[in-house]
Amino acid sequence: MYLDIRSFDTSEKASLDISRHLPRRVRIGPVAIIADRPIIFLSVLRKRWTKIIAEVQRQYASTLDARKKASLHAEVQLLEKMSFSLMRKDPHTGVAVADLTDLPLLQHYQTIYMYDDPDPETLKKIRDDHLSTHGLIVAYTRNPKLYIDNLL
Amino acid sequence: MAVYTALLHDQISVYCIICRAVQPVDHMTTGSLYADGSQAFACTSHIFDRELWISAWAIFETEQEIAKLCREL
Repeated sequence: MYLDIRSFDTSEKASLDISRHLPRRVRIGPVAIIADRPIIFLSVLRKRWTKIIAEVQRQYASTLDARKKASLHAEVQLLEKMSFSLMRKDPHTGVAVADLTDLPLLQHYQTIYMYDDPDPETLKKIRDDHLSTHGLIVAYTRNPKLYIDNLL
Repeated sequence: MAVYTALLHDQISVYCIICRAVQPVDHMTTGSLYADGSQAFACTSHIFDRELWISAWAIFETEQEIAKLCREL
């Protein structure tokens, strides 16, 4: 298991950070995001995703390097086909957003993003019951000790 | 934005797939995987360079896809 702890000043910076990090993880396997306001979070994420696709398309259009062009083309295809949903609506979507009341989750995830700090027991259950072997927990938190003490 | 990565198995330094530097894990950010399934990293500072971040990871992932296919043949 890997743990990536990321601190942030504002929720805007945090959502920007996840929009850059998430494309790296969606190709590996299903992703869950635990956030305190999933509907708002999902809406912000969709907007940022649209901007990321536009940015990759812009880079694709402006490069002459064949290797880079092919890679960016594959990236656009991946980003465009990715599906997002609230976990309670579609738990088997590519990126499922839930809050702590939606636990337990319905499957194993390769990556779980934590935007809301659970209690220590819940955190351990998330790791033991819902994270794939060699999976990654990315914690956006002001309390890194919670994760280090209970997960490592 | 301070970011750090803690790993279960005491890797103190890891390799950045973007600038090729070997850096302590508290300077690194997780990304996708190598063809063999191991975790790849990049320096956290690169995440703020939008263009570099996108293109470098896209190229890396294409290379790993090819490597994975070669391993399977």
